[in-house]
Parts: sequence; C-alpha cells; structure tokens
Amino acid sequence: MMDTNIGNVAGRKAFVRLQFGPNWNYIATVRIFVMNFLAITLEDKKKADVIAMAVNEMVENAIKYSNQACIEIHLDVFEGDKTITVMVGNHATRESYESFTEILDEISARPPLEAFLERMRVSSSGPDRKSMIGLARIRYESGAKLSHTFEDGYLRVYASFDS
Amino acid sequence: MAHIDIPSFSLDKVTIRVSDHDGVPCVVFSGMMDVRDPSQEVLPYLLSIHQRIISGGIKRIRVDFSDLSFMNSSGIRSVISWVVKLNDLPAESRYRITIVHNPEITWQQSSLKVMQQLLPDHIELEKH
Repeated sequence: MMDTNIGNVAGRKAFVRLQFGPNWNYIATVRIFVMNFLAITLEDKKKADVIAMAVNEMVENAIKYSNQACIEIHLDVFEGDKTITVMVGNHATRESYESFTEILDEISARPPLEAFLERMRVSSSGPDRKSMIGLARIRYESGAKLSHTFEDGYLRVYASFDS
Repeated sequence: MAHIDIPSFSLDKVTIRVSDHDGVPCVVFSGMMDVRDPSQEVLPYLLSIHQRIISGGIKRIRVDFSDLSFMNSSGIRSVISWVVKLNDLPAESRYRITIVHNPEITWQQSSLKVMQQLLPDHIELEKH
C-alpha cells in the first residue's frame, strides 16, 4: 500500500523509494539511477558519485545476505545538502545478521583508512562473502556513518552522509 | 622489448587487455567492473598475466584504469589478490607496477591511492 504521507517530511529536499528483486544484474542500473538523481539534486557532483558507489556496495551486500526476493532502498536528501541518508533493507537469517554485525563492529572500531587497509589485507586471502571490504570502502571514501538494525528477520543498514 | 602474449578478456561490462606502452607491458581495464565474483574468471586471468610477467623476467608493468568508470569492492579485491602475490616472490622475480589513474573518475581518486598505500614497495601511481 502506498504511503500517502511519504512526501511530508520537514526539511527534506528530495527522496527516492525503490524495491527490486535480488538480481545482481540490476545493481548497475540502480547505481546509475541514484547517481543521476543526486546529480540533479546536489550541487556537488563528486558527492553524487560517492553516494552512488555507497549505494552500490550496500545493495551488493544486501543481495549476498538476502534470503528473500526483495531489496528495499530509501534515499533522503535534506535541505542544504548537509545530510543525506540511505537505508538498504533485506530479509536475512539471524546467522547472517550476526556475521554482518561482527564484521561491521570490527570495521567501525578502527579509523576509516586503517579499516579499509585491513579489509584489503583480509579480502586478499579470505572468501569474498566474509571480507565486507565494501563497508570499509563506504566509510573511508564517503565518510558515512554506518549503523544497522535487525527486526523480525529484516536487516536494515543505514548510511548517513553529513557535511 | 618486454612483451606479454595473452588474448584480451571480456566479461559482462569489463574488458581487460595487455598492450605496449613505450616498451612496457600495460594491462588496460575498460568499461565497468561490477561482476559478483571476480575470483571465478577475472582473478585467474590476472594471475595468468602475473605468471607471464615472471616467466618473461619483466621488471616493470603498467596497469591502466583510466578508462574504467566503476569498480566494485569485489573487483578491488581481485586486483589486490593479484598484486599481493608479489610478496610471495623472491626479490629477483619481483616487478613494479605503475597504476595509471584518471583524476576525473571519483572512485579512482580514493580506492587506487589506498591500494598504493597497501603495497608501497610494489606500486606507484601516475595520473592519466
């Protein structure tokens, strides 16, 4: 059912809501859409590129961790372009959530550059699914704050881009 | 002249080929690299280049990303998995890599610089 109040958020300049099936082939299309949307919305085009990269990495993770056929994306740009938030949601098992939490905690415990370098080292020797190099990349390249919630088998990963 | 004889490689939206740049072999990436699991096909191709470099006694190569508009983290992982192999080689077999990047492409400004910091003894950066 459509949320008719979706447009009524104080201080918000623009928003996108997307849902799509967890097919890897759609990710590039989503990334390019987000990049074009933000290129219109933001004055800083480099910021549009960086956030589109972040969405790409978040969606890739969502598809890897999803156990059902729906990925959800919420993108909100607030007045002045000072704050942009992204939420990517997917159904996940508790095991996947716990694995995700463990790695995100490791990444968040280090400064962004150090965490990215460490994930590069880990990723060159371990299985791709466990490396989560994308999360460290988001933190370092975009400066985003990352958080997540897990409720009723649904994992939501949030990135907040403040400037 | 150092030469690597290997056919080009294409998968999905990315093409990798080896060309010559003033007598130095140059691994050229073009397109977009966002495949799900590059370890299946991309990494084996990069490692076959690595083997040819070693067997050819080549001491310097270029890796040109300047025409690659996007690389996902799995792609970054595959390139790192190739380059860290240099650490396993005896000193006389090692080679240096000049990474050519395009300052106009946002991801290259950051990811490739971090890659260079990971392996400063093996990698240097050059602007396209």
